[in-house]
Amino acid sequence: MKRITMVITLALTLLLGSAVSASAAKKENYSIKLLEYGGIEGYPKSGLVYGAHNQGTTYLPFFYNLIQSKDQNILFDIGFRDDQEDKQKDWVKLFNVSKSTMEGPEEILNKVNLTPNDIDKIILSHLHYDHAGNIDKFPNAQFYVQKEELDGWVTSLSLPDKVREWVWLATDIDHINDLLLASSEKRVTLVKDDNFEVAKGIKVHAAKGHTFGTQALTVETKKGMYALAQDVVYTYENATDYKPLGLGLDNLEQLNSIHKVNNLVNGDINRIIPGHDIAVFDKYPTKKVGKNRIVTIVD
Amino acid sequence: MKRMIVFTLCLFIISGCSNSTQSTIQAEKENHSHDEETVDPSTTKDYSDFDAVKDAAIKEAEFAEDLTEEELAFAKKIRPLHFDLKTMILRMSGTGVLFLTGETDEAAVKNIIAEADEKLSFVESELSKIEPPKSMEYVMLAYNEAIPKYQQSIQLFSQYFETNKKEYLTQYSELTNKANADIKKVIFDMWSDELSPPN
Repeated sequence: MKRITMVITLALTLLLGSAVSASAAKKENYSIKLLEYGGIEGYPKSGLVYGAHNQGTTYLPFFYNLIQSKDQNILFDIGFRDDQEDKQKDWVKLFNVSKSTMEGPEEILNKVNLTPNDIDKIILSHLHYDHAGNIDKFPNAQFYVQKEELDGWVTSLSLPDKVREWVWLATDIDHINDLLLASSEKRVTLVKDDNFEVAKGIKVHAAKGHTFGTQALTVETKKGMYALAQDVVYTYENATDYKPLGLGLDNLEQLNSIHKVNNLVNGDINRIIPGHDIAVFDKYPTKKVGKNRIVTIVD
Repeated sequence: MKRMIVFTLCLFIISGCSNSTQSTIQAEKENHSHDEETVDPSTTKDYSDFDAVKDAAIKEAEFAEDLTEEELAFAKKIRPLHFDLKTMILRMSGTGVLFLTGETDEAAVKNIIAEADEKLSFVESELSKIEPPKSMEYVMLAYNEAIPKYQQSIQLFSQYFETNKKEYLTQYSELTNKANADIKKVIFDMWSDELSPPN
């Protein structure tokens, strides 16, 4: 009797195990890499975490998030426009950094054997100029922006002068023109539905607060689901301690969005990839290529 | 045997939960240790002596008092016009995106063109009333150079939506970018707060 029970128990264990692996096999085989394209030395911690006014400074990295399958190359955000000839877009001067590590899309993508022409889809987390620059550099990509984001920017222009000045601080006029040109080629999708599937196993989630219609992304991989947060969650601390970012249009909405991202990964902080935390360099395999680093979340 | 199966399942659940809780706690510890490591102690302020911190901050701050009264008065007149121009072009391009993605109708496009025409006439008229101080003539020149480009841009925008010919939109984009470049020439001198790093 004992032997039969043991055999049944073992069989059950094997069955459960194979069910889990079968479910994993159905997942899309996406890889996720963070491509650092620059950063700021000595950035005030209070810019990242609300209320951290006396907590000194940190290095602030900036990333494109690259998601790849054998059929598709997808980017989540495309950084700041790299235009060294244009003094108005001088990275060093704009961000007061002593040494520029800025790299443009061509250089960044070359490190992973891609060119901007190879990018099929680009999801823009929001329209601040350090996330939605370079739209014109990707001639084949379909862009995904929350409709609420564009609506918000356009309607906010009717706000009283002093109010709209602050709201519009971080938006470059040229980028909206680039988006207009992409729209004329039917390459812009304004997302209206929450949990909208951009590709099989990749969904965008409305997560406003930082801006009018910020969005986060979930990606199903062979290692499970990851939430890519960009400016919904600057650092792990925002998510674990429920602290708004240092900059946002609406702090309460930011917290609701942080809560939403936490829920998307069932509260597992290890499944959240923040937008600007140097902790990712230690947490995941990282190698320096050229001036910046590549972080492999899922290979 | 039933007991054995229930026991096995319980073990599965318990071990799963405990692993996930442990890894979350570990991750939190790691994250917070990173936070501590990232802080440069030399930049941390000791708020127990608030007056000293306040005095140091005041010394560090740069004020607009470096400007003469005449320059400050000029800047106050120009600033709302700068944002009027920026707003005008953004509203046009933004409405264009909404129209081309099927999110607004032709009437909205026509309205925005009329609005932009009106706004540009207003800015042009206001600029003509302003006499810049010698030191800021270059600022005035930047805005005066931008105006005709914006005027032509509005026409190109309008032509695109009338004819659906892509070249008009491309020219609109190029010309507005040039006009934007004119008004952005003076950003670092006049409106540096416009380019604070937003993350």
